[in-house]
Amino acid sequence: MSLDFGEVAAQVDGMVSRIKTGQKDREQRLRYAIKVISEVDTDPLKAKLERSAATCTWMTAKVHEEVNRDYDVPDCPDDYSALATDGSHIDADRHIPVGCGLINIGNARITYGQNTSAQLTSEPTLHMEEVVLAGNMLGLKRAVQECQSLAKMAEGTSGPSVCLVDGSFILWGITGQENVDYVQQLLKGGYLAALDKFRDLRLPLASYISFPRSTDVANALRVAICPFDTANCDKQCADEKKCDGLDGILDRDLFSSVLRTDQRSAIFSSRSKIIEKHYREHAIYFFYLNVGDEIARVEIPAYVAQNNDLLEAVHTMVLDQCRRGHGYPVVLMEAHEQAVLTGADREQFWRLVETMLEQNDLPASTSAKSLSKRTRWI
Amino acid sequence: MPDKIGEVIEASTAEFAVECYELYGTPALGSLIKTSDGDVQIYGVVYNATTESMDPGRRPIARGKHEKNEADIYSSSPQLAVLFRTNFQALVIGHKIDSDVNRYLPPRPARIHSFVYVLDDREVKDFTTSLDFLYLLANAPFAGPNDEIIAACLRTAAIAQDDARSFLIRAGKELAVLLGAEPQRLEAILRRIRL
Repeated sequence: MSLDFGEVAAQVDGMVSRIKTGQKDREQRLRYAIKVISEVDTDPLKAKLERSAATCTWMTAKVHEEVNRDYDVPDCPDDYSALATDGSHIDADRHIPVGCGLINIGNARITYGQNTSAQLTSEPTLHMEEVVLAGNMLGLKRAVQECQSLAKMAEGTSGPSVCLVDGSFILWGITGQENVDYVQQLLKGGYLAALDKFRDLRLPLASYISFPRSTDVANALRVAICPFDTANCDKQCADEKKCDGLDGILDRDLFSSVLRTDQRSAIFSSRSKIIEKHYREHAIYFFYLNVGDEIARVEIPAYVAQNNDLLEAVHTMVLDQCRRGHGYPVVLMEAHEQAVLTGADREQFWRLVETMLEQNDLPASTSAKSLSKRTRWI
Repeated sequence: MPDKIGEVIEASTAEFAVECYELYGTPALGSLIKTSDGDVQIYGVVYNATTESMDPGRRPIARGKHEKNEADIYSSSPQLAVLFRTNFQALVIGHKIDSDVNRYLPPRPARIHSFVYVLDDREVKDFTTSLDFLYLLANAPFAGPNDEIIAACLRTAAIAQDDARSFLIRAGKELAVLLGAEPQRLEAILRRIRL
């Protein structure tokens, strides 16, 4: 029996009712949050955030300038190149007698102006190393490969350009990985080496997050409204939080009130332990950008954040990419299209593996469960 | 050697499909082209050209509302040139083995990825010294209006002749024999080649 949509609709209806009930309360909190961000005094907040860094349980943004500052978009050059990579992968299937997975990296380079051109390619790599196939390591390997592939594409780039990856620069997947040595190898030999290369080339590099759910700045505002001199959440608010007024508020909610279309926010940086522990000098900064249709989060490595020319290049070219892409960077969209693996691709991949195993007289039989899914019968 | 215009991407005994290297790089309807099956050269007539998205799941959208002219659409979005492709089909009308030109079907279809060239005027003249290929054209199960394709082929071939009018008269006589029982078709074709 397929999905019972009648039953689903009843449950969705219940969900919508609950959201509707909470809407008034949410609007009230949002109005309060907007008041807080528009009135916040940055210097005392900066000091309080530093004082509270070890004892505040919220992951707060590091503040470097006026929290509610906005920046107009600089002029975009007519001639520039946009480069991007994106990835997709097929996890190992335990119902197949051979352990292997696939990463497909999509590359896009689009050049605008006098000499327009476009190169769209994809690069598949098969992985059968046990260490890569364990847990969610393949996803981590993919993120590293995306960055490496972008660095390779960026070699020899001249003239104005912007290099983009999709999602966050912060490799959240490395927490909890058992094989620490391999993670270090991926980071040092792959990810950080790629970031080093971008820094040496002085290229405007950024990662783009559409519809972000991050709360780093909202959490910093929690510290701002914290009634204590130093926020010590576990000790002072074990039973009841004093910053409840900002519950459920996302950074994008805040900046939709601060930023006009095309403007970017002040820059902040992440206080993630992953960065402090593993990223050496490549701290990850970010700003929010009003692209018209939404507030996006743009992450940049430290060398970009500390160089105004590179920062402005990211602002203006990412925005131009969004204009050309109906609200989302067109070069990222094309990289995604090159990387994407459809259900049919995945089926064909496993069929290819089985066929080639059979041709070489190697065991290729799939599990009974896998077979029952493919040959459905009554 | 003339520049190749594309490659065979699908082939059967009676026809083959070609993907052009250049967007909108299809030869004119009715043009004579050639490709190969190894040492055998295969001749075809161009019909049914299409330009479409590479990915059937991604449809083009209107983009020019704020552009001054159509070319600006492509320069604002350079990726379009690699996201669309121009294909055409060709009806097989003959082949050449060694130096013998035959105006009937070849022993085997063209090979996938064989290069495709447009015939130059000298090759068109050589091929059309005999009009036996009209039998294949007149009886071909085209997807589109086949009399249009026959007329387009003759008009294109006439341009390469020293005496276009006498070529068309010769073609008209050949068609009169082939289509004697179908006067309406014959008349439609003759009107289209201005005889």
